[in-house]
Amino acid sequence: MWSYLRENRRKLVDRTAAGVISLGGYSVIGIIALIFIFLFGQILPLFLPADEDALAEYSAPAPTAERVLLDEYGQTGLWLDAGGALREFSGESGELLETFPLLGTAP
Amino acid sequence: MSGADKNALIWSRWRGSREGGVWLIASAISLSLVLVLGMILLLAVRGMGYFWPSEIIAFEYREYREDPWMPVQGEVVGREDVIAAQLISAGYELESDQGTVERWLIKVGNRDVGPSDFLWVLRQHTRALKVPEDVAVIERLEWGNFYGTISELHRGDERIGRAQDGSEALMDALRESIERAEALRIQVREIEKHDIGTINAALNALRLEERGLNLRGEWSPEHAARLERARQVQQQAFEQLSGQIAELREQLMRDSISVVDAEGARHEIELEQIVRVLVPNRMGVFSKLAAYLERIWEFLSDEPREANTEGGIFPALFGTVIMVLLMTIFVTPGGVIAAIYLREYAHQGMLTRIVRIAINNLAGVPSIVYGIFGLGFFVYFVGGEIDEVFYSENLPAPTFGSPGLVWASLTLALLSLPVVVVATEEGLARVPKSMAEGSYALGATQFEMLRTVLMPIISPAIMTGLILAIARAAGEVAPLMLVGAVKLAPSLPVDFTFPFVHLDRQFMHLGFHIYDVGFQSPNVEAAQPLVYATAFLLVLIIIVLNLLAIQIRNNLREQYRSLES
Amino acid sequence: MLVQIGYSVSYGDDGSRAVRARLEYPLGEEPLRWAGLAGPIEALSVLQTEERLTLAAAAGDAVQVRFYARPSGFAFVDADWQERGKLNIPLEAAPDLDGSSRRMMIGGNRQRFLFVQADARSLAVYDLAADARLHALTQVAGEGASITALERLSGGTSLLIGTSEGALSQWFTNVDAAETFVRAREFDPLEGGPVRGIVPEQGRRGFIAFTDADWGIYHSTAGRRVLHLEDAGIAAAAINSRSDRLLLNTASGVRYYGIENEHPDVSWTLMWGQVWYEGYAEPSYQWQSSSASSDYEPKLSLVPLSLGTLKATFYAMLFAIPLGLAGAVYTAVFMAPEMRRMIKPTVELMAALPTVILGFLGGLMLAPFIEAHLPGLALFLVLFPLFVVLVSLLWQWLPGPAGSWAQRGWTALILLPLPVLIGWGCIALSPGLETRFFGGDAPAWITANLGISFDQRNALVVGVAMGFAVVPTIFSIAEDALFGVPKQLISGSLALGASMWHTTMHVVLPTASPGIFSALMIGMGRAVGETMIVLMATGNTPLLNFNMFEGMRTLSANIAVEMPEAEVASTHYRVLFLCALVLFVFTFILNTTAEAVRQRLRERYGSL
Repeated sequence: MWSYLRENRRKLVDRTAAGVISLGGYSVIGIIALIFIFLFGQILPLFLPADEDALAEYSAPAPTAERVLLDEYGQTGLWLDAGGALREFSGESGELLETFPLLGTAP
Repeated sequence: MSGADKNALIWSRWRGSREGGVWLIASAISLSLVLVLGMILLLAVRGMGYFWPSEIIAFEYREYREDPWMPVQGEVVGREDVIAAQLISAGYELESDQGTVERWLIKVGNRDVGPSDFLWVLRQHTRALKVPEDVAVIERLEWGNFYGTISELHRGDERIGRAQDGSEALMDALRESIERAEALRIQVREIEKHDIGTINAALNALRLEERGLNLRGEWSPEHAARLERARQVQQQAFEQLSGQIAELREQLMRDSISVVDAEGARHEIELEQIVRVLVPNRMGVFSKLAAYLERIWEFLSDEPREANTEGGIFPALFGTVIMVLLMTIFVTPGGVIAAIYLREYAHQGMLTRIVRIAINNLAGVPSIVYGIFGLGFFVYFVGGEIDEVFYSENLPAPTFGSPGLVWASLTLALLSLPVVVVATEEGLARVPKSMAEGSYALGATQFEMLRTVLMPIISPAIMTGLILAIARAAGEVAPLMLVGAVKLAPSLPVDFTFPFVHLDRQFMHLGFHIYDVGFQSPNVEAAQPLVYATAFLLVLIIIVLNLLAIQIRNNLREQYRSLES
Repeated sequence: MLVQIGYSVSYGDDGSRAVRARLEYPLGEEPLRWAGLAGPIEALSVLQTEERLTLAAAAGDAVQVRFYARPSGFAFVDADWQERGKLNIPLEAAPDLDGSSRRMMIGGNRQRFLFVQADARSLAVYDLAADARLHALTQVAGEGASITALERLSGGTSLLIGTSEGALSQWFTNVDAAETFVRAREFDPLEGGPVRGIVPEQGRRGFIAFTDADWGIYHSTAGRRVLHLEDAGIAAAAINSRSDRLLLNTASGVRYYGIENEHPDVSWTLMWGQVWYEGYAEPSYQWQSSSASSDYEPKLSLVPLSLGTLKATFYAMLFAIPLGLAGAVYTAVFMAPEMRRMIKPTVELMAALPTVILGFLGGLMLAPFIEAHLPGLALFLVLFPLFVVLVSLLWQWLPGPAGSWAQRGWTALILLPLPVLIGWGCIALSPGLETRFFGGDAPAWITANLGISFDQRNALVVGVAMGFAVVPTIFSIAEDALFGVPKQLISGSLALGASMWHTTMHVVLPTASPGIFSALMIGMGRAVGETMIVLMATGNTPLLNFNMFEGMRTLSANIAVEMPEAEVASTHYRVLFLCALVLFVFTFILNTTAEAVRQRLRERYGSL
């Protein structure tokens, strides 16, 4: 009986060893491939085309605004209306946030 | 046969056999040998020659006829012949415009006193050349060497002057005091590095703990009080140690010497600053030899000073050794297992052939490609992720997300992988099939055969591969420029503070040191001798390693000759 | 009045971000009065740098320009603007502008020009630094077209012009002597009528342009359009400084886009073609990835780098092939076996020498040495082979045992002192030669008389140093191949009466040629990837010539130098990875070819 166990244990050890060694072999091969893939992956974005994604749509703040400015994050915008006031609005929703009259009350 | 006929025969034989051509291609070997040997000799002479105490000369110097004669004193570190015509077109006044002019490079030292510590002089512009007996070279911690005569030693209130009877009382007393100062200095350094280092580490840990608590929203007054108390403890310890250091420093500052330089001006140098004092013009061969060995030992065991232009290269040596050790730990299991897998376990077909070709090719890939991979993948990607998960309190300062020891070792392990795999595979190929079949016949499993029969036989081959890999890693600089080596590391990557092996620290490396000190140094003349010495050391290490590998491989061949017969 | 828009960003507890505008008035809150201008202001232009502010206003028949300055530096944060001067420029009437107002922009070379629309198709260029002298009057739109949009590209040097036919072009004042106002490039035109507006990107050299029915995102340096969409009734566009949010005011509403445009500045032309960069007189190949000024236009052409790699490899092979191959032939065929057993490990040792040491010796010792002894070295190249042949002849008269040494293959040893002696002699003669023939300074003579510029750290130094590193590689592989030629072939040829030399040239070499080819390939692979030697032995400037006496910058050295400073995921970063990939692929091809050739050789001679 003990030799039976010993035999199995030896087989187990052998099988585990084979597994570990195979794993090691695969991982080394994998790492070699990884170098190539990683290099390629870092370069790929250079050749990707530009893409646009429509995030929101709303009715215009005013149809005559010719110059619009956006902040760094694109969250807030400004445009100059015909009355000489700067209107601050939210980029995503168009909601008017504040008005800065520049020319006082005189148009 | 007449003489003329014999000559004609020799001539035609020489022409027919194209003997000239044979000699011509033989000369390629001669030339290559001369170049290699010459190169190593150059490194040896310029590298090792630097440590020999050279004599100090003194003379008077003036460049133009209107100038007054200036006294100059120092070591001659270079000699060259410059074409007179070139100097004249550069504006120098010369005796004649023909031929060449001898020019010396004099190390005058005294960087804190004069405009520069090296001086180019034309021999014809000097006069009154002499070798003064009493001039000393004083090696200092800062500002480099000082050349001058020692007139007095101040020990606290005691003054010891130059003895009239020619005895060595002054120098003996000086030597004693220098030893004392050295001992005190070591004590101070111990406290600073070790004890205060521990306190700093503890304070830093407290800071990070506080930051971590804040980030995770677990902040509470109890924590605040506990941290504050811990901080107080550290603060007290720090104050006590500072007091100790202040005391020691006071003792250190007690002594100083008065020296007179070439122009007769008097200067005071604290003994605390002095590393060594030599009077080379009075030293015999044996004392010079002793100083020589002492300097070489300092080179190997000490830290660099003065922006890497003086002192030793121990951190670079240590860093190289540690990195190579780590690299070996990474590459050995990977390489050996991969080779065993390829040869013993994998089905021998198209795939294994492709893999073998790939591995062989990898050996030829430029090392800088490994470097950029290491930087992009290991440092920025893996390191960045580790920082996010484990070291978020430290952010935005990177811990593992910046070049360091572990990434450098991994990158070089990748670089050396093909070498180890190929060497192991070659070792496996040499094992006669009879051995493997024999052990199978005795009932062994594959793994048992591997463990008991194969591994012992191929271990020399593995070792050869490893040694070659180590030799390469010691000298490979390009990838290290990107992933971990620096010109001056504030501390060693292995020290006595937990976790003892600091995998995230930057380190110094012999090869990188040569590049950096040779090319990024502000004072090239001062740095050059040390670069030569470092280069010679590196070449020596690599030659020794390679000879070891060759020896092992020769033994291997012997071994197999007996096996097969 | 001059309004400066700042934004304040605040973060809420839940991580949300709120951005509000903050207005500042650098010239005061009172509106500026433009005395001397009659009529409504038609156009305004502003240009602001750290220390200077220039305002221009056009009305009716004149333009007034005001100059302001303020001191900069740590002590003067946010100091006030002081008026420094005024200029009045009379304008000619422009009948064919049919009601639409004039366009005007300050910009150009060093931002000192004022561009005013003179008529429908031309711009008048005034030099503000020369008292508003008329510098040029240039037609910028084609026949029958008119200028409909005028904008300034980020950086302030280039002008973007849109016409009524949807054409878009980039103009600037050239850096040639005359500072001509030239068109640098033209972009893909837009459809749908005249260009209504151009909006420049901030921080990089891109812009958005739109017509009534069409809009696109462009990049100037790369000369291409990266995005092109149709829409209707576009009246205005805005883009944020990060270039990832776009706002379009169209007839059917306001559209808010997220934009992904990470690397518009890279194109095939940019990397491999000649590009006309701002500040250069004509299109050229340049690699200059960054500079101190923030408005810099990165120049990322791979041509100088690739040429540099080829140049370094060429000179290295020039030095390494003769030495390596000749040595291999002699060692395999002629050398005494005892000596050969010693030579092989020595060469292996040579191969193990770290290249950093070779580079250091090359840059710090060899380069000055070559510069100082140029005539002597040229003399050596001529004298050494001559002396070798001479000694070979004289040796034949040597009696008995000494004479037979050469026959028994110890020639290389015999010749050992010769390079030393001849070298010494040539170096000693060099100063004399230099004084007599080259006026004491050979490099200066070469530059003056042959028109070849001379750098101390040049391709010759790299060739010698890198050749040194490559010689062992070529030697080992070639020697193995030559030694492996079956002995029967050699004996057969000798038996037929051929001399050993003849046998070598006509039997051994051809037979071993696949192996030799393989050796050269692998050697070349090593040379291509070498980094340290190039870094230390050349000046590392990206040059475009094959001059032996000038340096270069190679792909590998470039990666080593620029990678530590490259911003992660930027275009520069990725282009450096591209350099690495080019190196990887190139050495891969070389090594695979060499290996395949070697395999075939092994199979062919395995049977013999």
